[in-house]
Amino acid sequence: MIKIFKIFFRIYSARLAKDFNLPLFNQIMQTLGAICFFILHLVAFRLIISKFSFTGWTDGQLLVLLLTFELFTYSAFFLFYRGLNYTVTEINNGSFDFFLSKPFPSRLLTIFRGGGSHNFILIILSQVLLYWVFINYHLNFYLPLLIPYYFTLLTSLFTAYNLSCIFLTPNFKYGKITASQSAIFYIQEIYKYPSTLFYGPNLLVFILPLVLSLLTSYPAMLLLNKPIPISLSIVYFGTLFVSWLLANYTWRTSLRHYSSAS
Amino acid sequence: VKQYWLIFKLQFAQFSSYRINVLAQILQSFVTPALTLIALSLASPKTSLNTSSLLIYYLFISLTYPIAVSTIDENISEMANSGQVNNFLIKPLSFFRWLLAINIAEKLVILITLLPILVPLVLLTHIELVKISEIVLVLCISFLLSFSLSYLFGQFNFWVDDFWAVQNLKHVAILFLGGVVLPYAFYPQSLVQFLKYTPFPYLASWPARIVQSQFNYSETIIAFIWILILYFLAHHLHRRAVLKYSFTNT
Repeated sequence: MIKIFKIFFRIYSARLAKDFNLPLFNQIMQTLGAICFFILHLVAFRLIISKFSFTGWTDGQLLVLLLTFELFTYSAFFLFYRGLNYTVTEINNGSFDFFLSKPFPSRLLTIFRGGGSHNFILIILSQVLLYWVFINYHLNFYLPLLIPYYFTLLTSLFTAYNLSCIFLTPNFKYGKITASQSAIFYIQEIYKYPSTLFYGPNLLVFILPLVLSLLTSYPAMLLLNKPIPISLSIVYFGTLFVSWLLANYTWRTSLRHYSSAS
Repeated sequence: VKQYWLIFKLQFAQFSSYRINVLAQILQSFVTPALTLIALSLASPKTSLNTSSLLIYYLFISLTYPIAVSTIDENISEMANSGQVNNFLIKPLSFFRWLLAINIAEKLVILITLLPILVPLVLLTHIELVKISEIVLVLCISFLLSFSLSYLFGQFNFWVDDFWAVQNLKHVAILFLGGVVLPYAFYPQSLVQFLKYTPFPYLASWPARIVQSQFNYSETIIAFIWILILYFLAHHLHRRAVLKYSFTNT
């Protein structure tokens, strides 16, 4: 395990060092390209909360949720996007063989390929803005709550990683499905909304939005020190466990259909 | 024209054979609006905005977005990176017309795939025949405008290394200023007034707005003027781009 962490650390730090050594123009372009979506989410969400209210959530708390969403999304981009992008192409052209020949689990090795500096910058920016929201909206801030906040953010990212792997598996059987590499990001809209919205008498109807929105709502509720029903905790950690089992199973069974470049 | 017709037929056959990809592309355009609608239907409106009007708006956006919005800049990026642009330097083929032919073929496959949803929807919502013809006309203009814009942005690929950043800027502009993420009812009135004179309202959300309101001929004129402006700008840039272009296979 330590060896795997060492490898990942080397890959990500090398990629970051490479990005930060690019000419300034390239760095500005990359950051501009990434920050425009960051701003789009902020502006669009401000417009939504100017026209709609969400029971049990003040505007300040909703912004904490939105910035948790930004932090979660850009962390996912930083950690997985490159790997997801490359894997789809490599399964298609047969160069995925390289990962099968390595003495490491292919599911780990293929996804973690380093992240761009622009995503790293936005991860930091999300946290600076989060701090600003707490001050500007006079929200209660408890320093020890940062520990469960970051821990659950990591577990949410692990669930997102498992879901990404599940979405990738049809590529082994059906050939190149370009949309599969970004599937986890196409459903990102739901991560912006509080999961308490879907938690009610129609729970079964909204189970999927509830499960997905919990990936960001759960850490945000912990940071805001909001009461969390025990059933929501069960759903959150249950999703984590089930997604891990399912990702392992689908990856293993789908690999049988992989026929290399031939 | 004959050679472009042949290219169109070949591309049509190719796109038709990748049905899962086409379906995934269509499904993609439904996801964000559907999730937004689910969330907003459970929230409490502060103004007169209601989710039933949003439902029709988002439904039409989801259906027309994959038909109207061109992503030909992605093809240009792939072709420039792989050296395929070389073919257009040595053969008597127009780069613009070739791309237009393959993009029309792609959109036609999407339109045919969407017909089983579009036809019952039109019948259920009792849209008049005149309105249908207006929507078809608007959809064609939207596609031409979107294609011109995408072709123009694609030219930046010859100058910028990180072309994905330019693509993102274009994508965000279409999504936000084009009223795809949120209808214009959410925006300040002054911004909506300003946007009228830009190409954005005539890209993806135009057909959806036509369904809910009256067709305005002056909008068609603005859209056509933008098509001409973007076309000439793109051609001017393309001439310079070809001079700048170099590819050596390694």
